[in-house]
Amino acid sequence: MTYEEVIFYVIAVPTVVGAIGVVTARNVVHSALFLILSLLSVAGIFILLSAEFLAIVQVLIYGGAVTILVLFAMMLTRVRDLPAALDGPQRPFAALAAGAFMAVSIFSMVSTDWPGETDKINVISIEQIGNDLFTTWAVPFEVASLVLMVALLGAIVLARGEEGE
Amino acid sequence: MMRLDADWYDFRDLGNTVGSLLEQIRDWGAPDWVPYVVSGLIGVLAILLWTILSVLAFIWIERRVVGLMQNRIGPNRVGPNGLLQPVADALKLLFKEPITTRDADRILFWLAPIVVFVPTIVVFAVIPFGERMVLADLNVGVLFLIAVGSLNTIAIFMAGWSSNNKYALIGAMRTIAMLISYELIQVLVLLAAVLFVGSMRLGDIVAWQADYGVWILFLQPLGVLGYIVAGAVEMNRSPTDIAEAESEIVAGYHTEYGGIKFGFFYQAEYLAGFAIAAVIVTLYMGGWTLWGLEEWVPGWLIFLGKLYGVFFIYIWSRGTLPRLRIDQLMAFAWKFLLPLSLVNVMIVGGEKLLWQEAHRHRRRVLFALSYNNFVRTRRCRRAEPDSRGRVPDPELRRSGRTLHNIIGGFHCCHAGPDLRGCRLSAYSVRDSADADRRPWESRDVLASAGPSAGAARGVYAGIRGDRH
Repeated sequence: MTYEEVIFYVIAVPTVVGAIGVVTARNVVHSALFLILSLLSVAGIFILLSAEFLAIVQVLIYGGAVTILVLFAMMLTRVRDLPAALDGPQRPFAALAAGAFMAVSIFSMVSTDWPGETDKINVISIEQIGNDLFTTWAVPFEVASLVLMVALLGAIVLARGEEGE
Repeated sequence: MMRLDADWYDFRDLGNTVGSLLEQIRDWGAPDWVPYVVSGLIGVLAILLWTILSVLAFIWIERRVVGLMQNRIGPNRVGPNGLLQPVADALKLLFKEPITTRDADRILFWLAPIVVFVPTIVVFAVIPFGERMVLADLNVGVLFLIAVGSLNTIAIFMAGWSSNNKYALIGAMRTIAMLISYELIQVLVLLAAVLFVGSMRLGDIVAWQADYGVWILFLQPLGVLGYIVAGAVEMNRSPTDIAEAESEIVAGYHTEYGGIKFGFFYQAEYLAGFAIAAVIVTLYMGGWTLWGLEEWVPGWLIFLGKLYGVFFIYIWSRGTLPRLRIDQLMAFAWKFLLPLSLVNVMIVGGEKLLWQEAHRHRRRVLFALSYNNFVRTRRCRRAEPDSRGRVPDPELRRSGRTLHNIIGGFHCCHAGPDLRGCRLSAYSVRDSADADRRPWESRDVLASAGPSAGAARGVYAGIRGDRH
């Protein structure tokens, strides 16, 4: 086992543990904190793949902003431990959907022709990311900003409407 | 500038010593990863040692200095001049019983003081203490600073929530609300700095400032202002320590903490302060360089000198300024600093354009921009009459000791017809009706811009939504 592999497993274990914790934890706050653990570990995997920019954006957006907003929302609501069985008649459908998703994932993973081992790492510079984002991928980029803008405006409209009533 | 081939005893840059040591290890035939791990360990240990010593020293300095400012003596009993007071405090905290309240979430309560330490220490990994004294010179260093800085919040939330105490929870909520607001400003302000240099690597930013002999401080005074305020909020110190305002919510998120767990929070707060100061020094004040002096004096000494100087400003403000209320702080972020930092991005864009066009006199253009900024800032600061001879508010000149006036340095000037009603007085101890009688307006903030001021002015008026 090379030391890259050792590092990979050191990072992968918290990723998986965090992911399992998110769905098994009884307390919503614990779930959110497990989510942070999992997402930050994914950032570690990005670093291992020499994608520093992606790793840091992962920390910034998922580790910082998104989960903070989740926690903030939970602090403003009342958080209690969930009752023992959070179950319902939809159980077989849920199992079916989850099983199907897993089957598709495994199938696509197995059937993909992976390029195999390489000792060359393509380090992509920020300049390149910036250039691509504003030239080749300008339209998707703008569309994404538009979606965010709409969400922002929607939030403001909702908040204002409540105030007026 | 480059001292890469220097001998191991060249202490102007301790990186030389470490480098020689690593080569020695390599010569002994160790595997590739051994020097890598060893250098990492050396760096981490050095940073840990330095931070602990600095924190201990500065606890004493801060208490004595604030004591002097407030006309009292401060700790002077333990050791000569009270020098050993922090050591005594640390020992006391170590030997105290670690109490966990009955209704606390035990694991999170125990984990929070440890987690709070990580981001504050990790920040120092990308800070260049000297030319080769940087643990990891990432090419996305500035982003790294922002990303890691935001992780603090998680630990503070863990502490506040797991304590199961309403004051702790309120403190945590305040922290998160503040950090969400001020992180935006930090990002915008750092964006402006990166825009000018064209690199996110902190080493490059220092080298750029050394090459042109101009600190970014002089080119972007508004940016520095924004970062200093946002930094003060992030490091949670008075006058912006509303997350632990003892007159309102006991001790905020660490109300239930005692003993060494509290000590961890205390030290982490200090470290966050050093980290902010280190970022200011690196990005805005030339890092470890000082116009050629770094050839003679070790760069890390210059760096530490600047860092302690910047940190002293925070101690100073703590000793002199009253604590803000949370609504004032939030309003200040969203209504004043955010528009200001957006304007700053525009201004810097203009400066950058001008600078790029000047092929032969690049350095002179930088000097001219700095001079322009300096003169205009100074004029605003002193609240001198404007070109139309309107006499400024005498009260403003007198009240030299409030945040209002420090910020007021940027909004005490009168505006022309194009900026009518565009006050930057979001933070104001006076009520708005009162402020309307004395419209301190902000043309000169924008005018300090130089080239793109016109555009910035329009955008700014648009942001504020002022149409009258």
